[in-house]
Amino acid sequence: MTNTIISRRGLVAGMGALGGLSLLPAFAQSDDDYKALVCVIFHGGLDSFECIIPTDEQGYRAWERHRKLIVDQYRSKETVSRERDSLLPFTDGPNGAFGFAAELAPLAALYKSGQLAVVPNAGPLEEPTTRSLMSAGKVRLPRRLASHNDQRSIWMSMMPEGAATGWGGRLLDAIAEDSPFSSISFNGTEVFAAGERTLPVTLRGSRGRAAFGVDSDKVFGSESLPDILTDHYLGQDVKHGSVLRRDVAAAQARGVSAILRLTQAQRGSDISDQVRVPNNKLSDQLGAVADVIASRDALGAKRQVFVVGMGGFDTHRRQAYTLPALQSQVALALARFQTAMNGLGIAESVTAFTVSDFGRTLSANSSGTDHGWGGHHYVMGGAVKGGRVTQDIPPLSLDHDQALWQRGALVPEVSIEQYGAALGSWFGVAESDLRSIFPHLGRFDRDAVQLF
Amino acid sequence: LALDHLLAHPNVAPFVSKQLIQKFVTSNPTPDYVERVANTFNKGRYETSDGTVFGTGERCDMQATLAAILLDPTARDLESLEDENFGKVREPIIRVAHMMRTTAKARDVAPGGRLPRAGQLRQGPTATGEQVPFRPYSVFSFFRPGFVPSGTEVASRGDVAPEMQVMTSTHFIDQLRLARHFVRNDKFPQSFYQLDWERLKPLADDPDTLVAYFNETFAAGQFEPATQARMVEALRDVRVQAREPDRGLRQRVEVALLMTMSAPEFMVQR
Repeated sequence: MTNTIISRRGLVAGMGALGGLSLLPAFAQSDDDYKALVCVIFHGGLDSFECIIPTDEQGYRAWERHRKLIVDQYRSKETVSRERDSLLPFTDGPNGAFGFAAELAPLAALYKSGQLAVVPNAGPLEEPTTRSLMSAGKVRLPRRLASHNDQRSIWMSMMPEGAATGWGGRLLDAIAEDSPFSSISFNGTEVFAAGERTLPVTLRGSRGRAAFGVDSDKVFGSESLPDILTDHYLGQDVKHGSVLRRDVAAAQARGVSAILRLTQAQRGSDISDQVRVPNNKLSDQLGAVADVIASRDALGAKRQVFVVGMGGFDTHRRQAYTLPALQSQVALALARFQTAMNGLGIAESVTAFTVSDFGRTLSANSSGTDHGWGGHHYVMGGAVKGGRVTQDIPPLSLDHDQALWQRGALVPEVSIEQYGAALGSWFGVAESDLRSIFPHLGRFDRDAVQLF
Repeated sequence: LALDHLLAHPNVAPFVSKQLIQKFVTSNPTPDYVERVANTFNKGRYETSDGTVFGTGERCDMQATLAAILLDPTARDLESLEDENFGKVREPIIRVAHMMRTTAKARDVAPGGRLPRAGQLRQGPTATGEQVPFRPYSVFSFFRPGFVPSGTEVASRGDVAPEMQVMTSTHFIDQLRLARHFVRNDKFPQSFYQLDWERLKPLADDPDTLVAYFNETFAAGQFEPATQARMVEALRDVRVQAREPDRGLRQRVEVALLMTMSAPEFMVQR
């Protein structure tokens, strides 16, 4: 990308940005035109078997049996209850009735009000896969299953670790959204947000603060120091004979200008107060997303991809003591975010969806669970056909064709291609572009996952 | 035993050697450089041209391996500077440590005989930003050796820049705040770091001198002329009042330090 010369005055006034990209629109764009995807990442591999639990007698007993040591911890009364009557039933299908864990009550409410759908058993696949096909050696498998970094990378970029772009960024490339604020991560560097031409603004944490001197009239009594410092941060007129120095200079320039604009946007919005709750980092990040969405006209983007996330889900040990609090944070943050979107009247234009490294094993180890493969995910928003599951939730057993006989990790039924293409299609990406962003889409039933 | 089996794998030497090279010298070493170091790793012994020997001769000897890395012509010869692809990004913690070492009073490591409480770096001003000391986000440490930053020249060449994984937009802003904090607060934490004001103050009197000092001690003299000129201009703009000179001089050091921290010539080591 090119470094266009801009002055500090121009930067602060919000006109233009690096790369010769869009100026402020002459008038506000219609909301029909605006769409945002919010990717919510659970780092570590969220245990789906503890979000969505059988509520019928037979199913619950099976769940209890496979997870006896964890259930014992719950029964020790040092943590929440996981008794059958504590669960929140939400669906009844061919494999039994299921309910949400109690601390997910806000999500249950979203489900009931039709704003949230459950996508069961999704994960990386090379082609439709079952256990029998695997035993017969008749199916190609994704590389590096159960490896955190590779699986997370595949979820977000369709490749094991080392990809430079993710499908979120590539969706933006395909739509030719050229605002510098089209792609924003509040969870640090995430490959999902990066495209070939789409360069994400990466933030760690939710509150922006402009670089020293950039947003001031004077520094140490000098009126020219703000300009000199800004020129320095933007690397004006400096040519480096080193690839890395040029890249670092460009990253700094982009970062400084983006954060300045975002800080100004955040100052103009107080929506985030409706989303944030104390000690809930996900709610902080989603609050910041809400601020940016509220400022979309000023930032000039018609299509945006946001990335937020939280960690702690790699619950190999003491799962009963750690997971419920995390789940509670997730549910509260998502629900408050949805309420804020409804309040802005923009809920039909904003869709949030979850991603995680993998689901986990059905059978517990001594106090937790281990790396699995398929997991259940949520899609939330005003345009979502909510209050339903997109596929049947698989039964809880080691004995069916979408379960691995080693401890019951799920063999995914829904591929990332199908998941991503359904979201991308809503986002406005043409089918031909979706087929190049998800090259193996043709191996799967394109219409199997109906989200909208 | 499992570890012995793992260690015996022939890939261990190049795997470890390449990552060590990435940490110390350059992010994208030539296969030859990696091979030279890997051979030393396996031999456990490195001998220089003047006969100095490093290492015990036992495989995996770290002293020998590091000698092979740091004394290799790639790491020593000025010719490497002609290669645009040579070098590595300095990770944020390294830059903070560099800043502290360069601006701190020379003193006994541990007043009262106790080790400095490095754990204090986990809190306070150094606990902001992307790379908080002793607090990586996951078991994979702060960044992965294979990280490719999107939309960069490095990426278009198929190369890696691992440290850029922690250089988020916010990080560029946060490091400026940290630099300012160190100069304004003198001691952080009290037992750990103290700004050497006596040494820095006279340098601040003359902008050219201060810039030259930072150029040499931070960037090995590699500041571009435009960078130097701009820094001098900035320092000249900070007026030093006759009746209260310390204030202006300290502000100069602050400006010089934060411009140095945000100079690509320092952020990337060559």
